[in-house]
Amino acid sequence: MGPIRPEERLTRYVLFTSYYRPSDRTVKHSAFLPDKTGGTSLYRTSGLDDKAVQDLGNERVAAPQNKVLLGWIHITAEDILVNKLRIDPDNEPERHAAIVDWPPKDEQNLIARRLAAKATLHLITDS
Amino acid sequence: MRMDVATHHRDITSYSSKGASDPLKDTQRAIMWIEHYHRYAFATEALNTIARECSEANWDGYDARPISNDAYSEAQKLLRLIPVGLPMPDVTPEPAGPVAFEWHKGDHFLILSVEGRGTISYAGGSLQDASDDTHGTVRFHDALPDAIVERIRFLL
Repeated sequence: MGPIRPEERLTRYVLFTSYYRPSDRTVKHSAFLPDKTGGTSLYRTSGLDDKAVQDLGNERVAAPQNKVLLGWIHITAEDILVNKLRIDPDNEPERHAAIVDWPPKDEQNLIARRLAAKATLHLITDS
Repeated sequence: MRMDVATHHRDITSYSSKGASDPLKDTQRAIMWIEHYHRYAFATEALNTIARECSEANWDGYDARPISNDAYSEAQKLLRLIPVGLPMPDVTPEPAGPVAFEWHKGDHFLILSVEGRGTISYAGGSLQDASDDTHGTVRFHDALPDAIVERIRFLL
């Protein structure tokens, strides 16, 4: 798919309720924190409609683990890159990317909170 | 949880038995205690739910580590140490195993994380102004550090 463009939309799939606040539909910082490999997994979804975004999340993220897809979080690449993070467009599987180059733990929370503030939440129950 | 309720109940009753000279102020303080206790109970219940739901690896679908008993105990301790009159935080699990607490007001926020190692990681600031950012790690024994209490007070 080529290099990441700043205006590109990236999607973090949500399979756990504590990653957002249902009361005001805001995203928590924990939704963006890196996993054990040091990266935050997401998918490149520019140009996909909601149905295609949902299908991608079910097929690649939820179904292989027998988990229920609750929704997804959109964020632009620019909102990630301005925080001195890097996006690795590994394309494994297709469309996959990861936020990498996270700083040490306490600063991770600061940056993850800024990402959460820029993100938009879409719950399956909205559809 | 049962012990915490008893402790809070004892605190309230012992307070109300101290030679009160101003019934109005005494009543206001008692109400503040009761409100604090309700918020504390709510936060504790959220923590207990997290402990149940995140006790096994991969609870988030991204290979998250389980929340350990040590992290849970330290999170309980942190909630107990929040002074009366200060707001209770949002409680949330983090994928690497810590339990996090967030306070926010407008664009300002403070996040504390504990993972059962006797330390608190803190990160706070303003979403509009990065010059206000602060982050680091402090030792956590039997009290919340004053600087953290002041930061929470700022978010009242």
